[in-house]
Amino acid sequence: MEVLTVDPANLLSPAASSSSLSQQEVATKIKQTHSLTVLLKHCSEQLLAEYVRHQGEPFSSPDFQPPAMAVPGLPSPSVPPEAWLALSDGKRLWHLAAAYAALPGLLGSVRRQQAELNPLASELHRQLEAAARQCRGLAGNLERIMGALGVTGPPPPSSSLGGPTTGAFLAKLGGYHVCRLHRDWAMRSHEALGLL
Amino acid sequence: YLKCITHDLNRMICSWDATSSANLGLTYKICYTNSEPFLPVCIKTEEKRADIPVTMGSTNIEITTLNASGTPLATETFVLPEENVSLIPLTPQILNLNADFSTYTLYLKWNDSGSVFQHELDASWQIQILRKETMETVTLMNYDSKLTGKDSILSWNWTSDIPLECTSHHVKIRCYINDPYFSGRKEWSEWSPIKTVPGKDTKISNAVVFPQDKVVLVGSDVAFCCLYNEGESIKYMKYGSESYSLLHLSKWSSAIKVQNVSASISSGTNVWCSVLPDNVAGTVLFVGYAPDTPQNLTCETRTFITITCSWNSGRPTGLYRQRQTKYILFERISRENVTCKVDELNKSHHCDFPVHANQKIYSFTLEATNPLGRAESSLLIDVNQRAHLETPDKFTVSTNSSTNAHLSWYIPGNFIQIRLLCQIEISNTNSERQLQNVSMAGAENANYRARVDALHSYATYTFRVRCSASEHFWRWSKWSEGKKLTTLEA
Repeated sequence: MEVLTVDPANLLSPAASSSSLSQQEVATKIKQTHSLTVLLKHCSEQLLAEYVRHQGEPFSSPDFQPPAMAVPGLPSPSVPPEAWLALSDGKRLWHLAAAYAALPGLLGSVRRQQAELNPLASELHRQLEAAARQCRGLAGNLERIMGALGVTGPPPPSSSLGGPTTGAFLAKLGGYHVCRLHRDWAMRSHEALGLL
Repeated sequence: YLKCITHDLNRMICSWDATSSANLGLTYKICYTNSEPFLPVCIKTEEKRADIPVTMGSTNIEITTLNASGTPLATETFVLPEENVSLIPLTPQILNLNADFSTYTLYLKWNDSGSVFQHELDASWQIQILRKETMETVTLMNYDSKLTGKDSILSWNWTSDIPLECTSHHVKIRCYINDPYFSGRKEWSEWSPIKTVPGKDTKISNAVVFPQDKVVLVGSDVAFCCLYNEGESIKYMKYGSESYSLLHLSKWSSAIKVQNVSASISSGTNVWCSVLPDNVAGTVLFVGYAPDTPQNLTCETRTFITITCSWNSGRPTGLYRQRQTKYILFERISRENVTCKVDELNKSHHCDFPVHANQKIYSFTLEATNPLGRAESSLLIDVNQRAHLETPDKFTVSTNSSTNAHLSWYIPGNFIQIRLLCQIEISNTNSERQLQNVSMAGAENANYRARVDALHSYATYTFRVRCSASEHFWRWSKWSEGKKLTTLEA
């Protein structure tokens, strides 16, 4: 897969936006998306706090730092900040698009698991649903921005969290990692959109 | 010396130690007399043992050591009283050892070899359970049975205090026969060969904790174990936020024992272990209560099509979703039952049961079950005495006179079996209220009519109606909506 390198200088030049969005619309879309990432950052922090509150110790204790766990389909934003900044806009957008293509499905899986484990936690269910919706929104925006900038998007995600055979602890742990990655990606997307 | 043992009280195996130092090429002639006509029976053998019948009383034995050419070297005689014979049962064999990991239970079957003896005998068995690499005895139990002269398969089961996955469990048994008429020594048999139920603590793919997602009663004592791989080691193991001392089971398995667990939150109490270099594994324990007896069970019919039973679930169990309390409504007379759909987040529940033609009496039992137990409530009703009609619908009032009004309303349901009692509320503009009762034959999904007389002319009234069963009153329906009417001028 070959990613077009987009120079910031040409970002809004006519030649670059060959799609239907005009330059002004691309700028507006980027601004809108950046605002969405501000909301996402705030909500993802709240979601992680609400999530751990309902899982019991050790999740709810501040010093709980389980080893990182790979979540199928969801890359972790582990690229160090300097390397992240060194990437081209197109490459950054590509990474964001890959993450936000996977997150709605994963957050949906977590909501289903929490409906089983915590049927009374209606606020947690509501926040999980909202987070999935926001991620879908961001993924849509990213897709349009990337289209306008001529950046090829990532392949569709193959993401799903452990099925019903997973034990309850692994389900809680998996959900914890999804919520934490959701928060980390929200911060990274906020940063990345700020650079466009 | 001469040592004789019997396995079956029928024959005995005597073995001796020859006095002569040269052992090569020797043979032995053993002659015994122990029963009528008391003629000696002789056997030649190269081994220093012989198989001799067992009889009551003493046995005279003469053992002659012969050299290679048959020349007697030495002769010894013994008088062997029964008291000097040892009864040692044959070594038992375990037929099979099965395990039910979900209930931590080992199931043992073995053959008691009762056919070895001709008569009924009391037998005692010892069953030993061992654990860990060090083969520590977990428990040694006695089990008595009666040998019946035929082979019988004996079975026995044992429930472990820790999950069977945690480490391998080994079992061996031995036997002791108590024949009151045998005056010789009675000894335990040899232990049987060991049978093993392997634990899961060898070759696991990833660190894991057992039991997985267990459900227990509040106040239980529960053991957990953390299994890890070669090259890993356990740092600590916690129940919720509390660390517990580790019991070392094997190279790859450590356990903790938690006493008197308290009710868990909805998503259960986490039990987890931190494993070096960089791993975590865990399980969840759901701690709750068995279902409470369903309370305030009442059953009524609204339409004589279904009977609706409602109840209160009582004390919350603390268990949800797949662990929630399930309700089944059994009806003894028709032998029919209905699985009730309930909203676990509600305390009050209801369940519908079909009304059967030609069945008046219903004997209900509502059974509540969850993984921790069951409870039930029962109720016997005569459906004709439990009619609670729906709110009268399509209520209309009309008049064509100055002193009376015609009322009409619709009630869903099949009331052919009963008479209805309906109550009409008449309110005038001064808010004076008057109630009139009217009885009528029940019908099916019908419109009902009544006439109210003795009204004032050119007066405005508000009418409402409600109904119930006329005979065996149970409950009024709700009031219909109110309808205003002004009578004609006189």
